[in-house]
Amino acid sequence: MNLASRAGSRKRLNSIVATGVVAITASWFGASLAEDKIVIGFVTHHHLDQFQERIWQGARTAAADLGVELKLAAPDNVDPEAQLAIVQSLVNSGVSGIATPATSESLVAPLNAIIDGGTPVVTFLLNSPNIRAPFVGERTFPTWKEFGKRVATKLGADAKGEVLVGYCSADLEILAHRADGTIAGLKEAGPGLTVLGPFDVKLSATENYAAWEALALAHPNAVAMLDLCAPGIVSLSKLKTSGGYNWLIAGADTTPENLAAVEAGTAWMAEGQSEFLQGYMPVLMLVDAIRSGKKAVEPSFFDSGNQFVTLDNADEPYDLKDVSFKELVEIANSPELTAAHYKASLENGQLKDWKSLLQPLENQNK
Amino acid sequence: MPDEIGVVAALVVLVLAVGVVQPNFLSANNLIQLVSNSAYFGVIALGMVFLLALGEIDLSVGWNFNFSAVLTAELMLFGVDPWIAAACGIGFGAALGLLNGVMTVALGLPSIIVTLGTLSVFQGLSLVVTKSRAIIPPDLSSSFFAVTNSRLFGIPFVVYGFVFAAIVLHLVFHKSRFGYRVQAIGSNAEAAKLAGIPINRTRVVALVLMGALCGLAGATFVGVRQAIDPTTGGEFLLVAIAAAVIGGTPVTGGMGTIVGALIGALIISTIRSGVIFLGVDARWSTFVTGAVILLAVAIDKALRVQRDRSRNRNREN
Repeated sequence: MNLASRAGSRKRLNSIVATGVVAITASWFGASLAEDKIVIGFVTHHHLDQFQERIWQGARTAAADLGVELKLAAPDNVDPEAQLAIVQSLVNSGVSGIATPATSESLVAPLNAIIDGGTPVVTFLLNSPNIRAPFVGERTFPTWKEFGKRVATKLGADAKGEVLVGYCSADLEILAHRADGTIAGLKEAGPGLTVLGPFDVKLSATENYAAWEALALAHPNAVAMLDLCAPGIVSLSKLKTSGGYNWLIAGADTTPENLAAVEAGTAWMAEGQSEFLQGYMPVLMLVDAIRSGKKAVEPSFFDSGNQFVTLDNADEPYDLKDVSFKELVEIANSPELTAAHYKASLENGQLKDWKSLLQPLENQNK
Repeated sequence: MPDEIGVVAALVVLVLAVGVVQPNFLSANNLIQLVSNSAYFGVIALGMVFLLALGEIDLSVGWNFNFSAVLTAELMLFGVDPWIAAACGIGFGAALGLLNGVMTVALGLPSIIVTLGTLSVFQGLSLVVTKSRAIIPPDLSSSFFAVTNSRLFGIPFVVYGFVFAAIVLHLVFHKSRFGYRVQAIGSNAEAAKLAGIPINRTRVVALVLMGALCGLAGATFVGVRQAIDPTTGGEFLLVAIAAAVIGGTPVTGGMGTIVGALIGALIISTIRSGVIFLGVDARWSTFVTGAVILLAVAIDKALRVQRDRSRNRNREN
């Protein structure tokens, strides 16, 4: 390279760097978001399934009801570091509050730093008691203990045989709590049952099916197959139909596909955790705090409630209108019907007085 | 013109493009956070440059990071001084790298095959140790946590650590015998062998270095975040490779750039943050991230082509 060319290159490099430095310096001194408009950053831990979509739907409905702007975001996969980067970017962009799940304990220090910096935070779905913020979600251990007891009761007090328990990820702590609760419930209500697992049956539909297929071949005489994540009921139902098995199937989440399997009679029970409320309530709590001039929301626990849905039972939490199984399916398939289903309670019922429903944070896993 | 001019230009263009639309993106706090968030996978990307230049790869880096962090935190749970626990974590990462290296050489297999296996081994053992639960050091009063969470001139410790690691590794790559050997083997393994370069030893040392960097990142992570859970690190593999490759290290071996990998890591963090600032719909963000990475690589390539033409013209003159 000759001297002239080298000097030209340096000039180009210098001009690029200089432009950057000028812009950055100008921004440091001049940029400050001081808008009155409330903007809520709502970050889920992934956006891969209907369950997350229903949470988003709750958040969108809340934002529309309260007249605030919502910024929805999520990492491509369950990746706490990417999730944190999104949350921090939203905070730096000037949002008024953040709602996000505590996917990892490693998020505790950064989220507490955000709270200390004056941006209110509400967590949902996945909890850490070490975050100084409210949590909206289910009571994990007791709910899944009840789930296990109901399965054992359905099988009969004297039932014997193998019950297989699977979950979609061995590295999410909340699923370990679900498994602990389920196994405790099965053992308490079905002392003759042999409980095996929890097995890691994966999240993606194809991997989940393959994992359950292998378990079915290894345990052809099992009396029940339980998947504590959303895709399991569908996989197990297909296997049951194609392989002529007689297991009892139960699992997590009242997605339209899971309810269809219950309706068809291949699955017995789907557990729901009011995901609409897990989207709605964090936005409501944040907006309430911000409009009250608070810089942080006091730590507390809002139980989003659960449903143990069978063909005969579609009980709803709080004072939500009782619905038949058929109506529940219609609600699950329609964003408008879902919003309308919760509207009465949120506007004039028990959920309107949501502050009286807040519990101490430590109640979440009791 | 330095080799890294293309990626530097791509980074500046990206930062300015987002900053023009959203001035808050250029705030000091956000830019510092961008670098800080890049540090963990970025340090791994720096080590990956050595392996790629050697014509090797380590697929187990994410879980090596996680397992080393888990060991560090577990030792703290057992009452070991956090500084000693962190040193053990780094050593443990290096030992896992040594395991990769010894198996690669002893079995005569490409490291991609060996580390494909150890990826699951490390993840599985880490899960067994953690029992699927997060590990939280019980006592945060040690100076280890104060140092790893400290700031100098408003810039976090991890940023200095990341830059310092890049400088040291840059010197190792370009100025040490080991660095020359890595590039020589990656360029032409047969010629390197005939020249008397110890190929197997160099491969093992490179994998140990990679493991030690995973351990360093893992131990630092425990200090900064004061916790490690079973999921963290699993997604680091692809971003670390992407950072090295975006930075200008070819997967074909023979050459590499540590500074490029550092810039590559910053480009990835900039894109991740940029799509949020620009309000890109979450469903589109994955596509946009990929498209912008392609754009950044294209800018780099265009500048390289221009530089090569310029060099050729100068030679002809």
